[in-house]
Amino acid sequence: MRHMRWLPLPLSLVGLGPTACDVMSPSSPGNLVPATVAEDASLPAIEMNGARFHVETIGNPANPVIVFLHGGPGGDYRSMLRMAERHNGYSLADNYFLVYWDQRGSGLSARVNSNELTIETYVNDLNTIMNRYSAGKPAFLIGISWGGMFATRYINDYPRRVAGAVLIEPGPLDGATMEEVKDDMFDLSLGAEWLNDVVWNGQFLSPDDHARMDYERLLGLKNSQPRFHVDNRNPEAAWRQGAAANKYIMEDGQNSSGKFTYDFTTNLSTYTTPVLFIAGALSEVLGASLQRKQVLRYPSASLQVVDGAGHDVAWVKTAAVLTHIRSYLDARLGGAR
Amino acid sequence: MSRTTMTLGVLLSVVVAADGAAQWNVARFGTERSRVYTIVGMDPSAVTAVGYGRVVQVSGHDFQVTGDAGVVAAGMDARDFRARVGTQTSLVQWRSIHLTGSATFITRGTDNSIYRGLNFGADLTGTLGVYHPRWFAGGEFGFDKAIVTHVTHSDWYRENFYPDAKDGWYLDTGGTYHYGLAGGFAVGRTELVGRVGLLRTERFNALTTPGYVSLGVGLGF
Repeated sequence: MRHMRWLPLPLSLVGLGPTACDVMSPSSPGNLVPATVAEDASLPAIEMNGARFHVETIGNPANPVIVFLHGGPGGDYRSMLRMAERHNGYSLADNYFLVYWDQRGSGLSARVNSNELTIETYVNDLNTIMNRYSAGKPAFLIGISWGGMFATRYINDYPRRVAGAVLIEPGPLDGATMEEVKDDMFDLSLGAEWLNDVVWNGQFLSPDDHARMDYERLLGLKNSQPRFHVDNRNPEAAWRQGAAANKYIMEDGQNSSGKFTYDFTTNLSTYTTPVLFIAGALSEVLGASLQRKQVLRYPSASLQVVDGAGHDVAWVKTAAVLTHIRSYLDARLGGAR
Repeated sequence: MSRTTMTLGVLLSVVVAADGAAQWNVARFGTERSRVYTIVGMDPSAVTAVGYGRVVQVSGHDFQVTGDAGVVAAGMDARDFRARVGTQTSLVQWRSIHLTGSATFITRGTDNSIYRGLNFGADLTGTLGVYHPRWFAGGEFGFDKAIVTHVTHSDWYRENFYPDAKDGWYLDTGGTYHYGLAGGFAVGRTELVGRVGLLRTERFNALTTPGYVSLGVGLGF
């Protein structure tokens, strides 16, 4: 039997050097990812349904309301602000009251416990937003990617509350379709550099708290979805990727085996209002071919395809997208605008 | 190089060689005093490395001191690297059963889309197993601590996402438990070792790669 006494010695040497330096915590707000409304009181925010949300409005509150639904789940509305800017002499804010908000646990909204991150909670939050900013009047929805799925789910539950909807490259509206396309969404080949970067990062910054989880998720923003054909040199601007929101909302659409089983279309037949779909011509997975099928889930919907753009069509071809949105909204309001 | 070719190459590398993180056969320490080795595996990324080990005696007890350096195999990106210096020895022996321990100092680097990082860490691993000169098999449990990490954010991250991200040294940035099986056999002076197991963060959360697998080939002399 041999006993050794050397083991405690080596580790003590490693930490000596950097302790003399000014060191930071990866978990502290604002170090790796931006502070949320829970940590930065200067950010525009409201309290609702027991949580604090990052919310911003633009325009005249007396005008018809448009509520924007960002992608993700877990993303934020920063890139959608481009649609509030003036293009070709026109801004949506001229005629509409624009409501931007980061969904629960997403973007600069406060982080919440996982049990609050359910699709049902999200629908209830959106309903509260609708009642707060468009009480007694139907409002328009503009949703991108996950936001288009979310809009559909809301329309499915509250068809009378929605005056019309623009769905830009919405993800699959039911689990069966998601199962068909999910393997095409990410480049998961063993040699994918982005994937190795994410995995390698785990040795540096373990995803053991919200800040590090959100930071890790940012590693997937570049080159992870080649078939989406987004512009990596001019990426969609964003503040924070809510990793927990993404994880738990996605899981809420799955059964215990991890199979997507959600269906946001069960009641769409009652919604006869025209809906506008927009797709980027370069987008392969959630592009025109998928949207031509998804348009059929609504009783009255049409598709516009914008050339020269991928999944980030609203970011890189904002003016063209706004032209279609304006035409749609003008038609919905009887050409009065 | 096409993606298919690269993927096949990495897969082949995993099959033919790989990491042993200094988990060599302690029953052979008295046979060969030096070894060179190559290690390849998914640990946690696809990694390939080369190293050298030398058995030294301290107070009559054998320690193998090893040093290796490796890079992430995807694109052979030298900016994603790992260098380790460690030692392994038998802590407790009863007949052919050994409880071995290894301590490894680790320097890691990464350069990705959002930051460039340099990390200093340490790994402590214990293995309980049966060790014969021709083969060994055992179970291992270890902890790899990322003690301190220097982060420099990329222009891409600052310009498009967060301009106020803080560059500098971050303390206590993470840790990974690894636990699984280790084993190997020797033919002549050549030793083949393998490890397979699971990974968890220091708070037992899941990682993107749930486990590790590696093979190492060492030539003793």
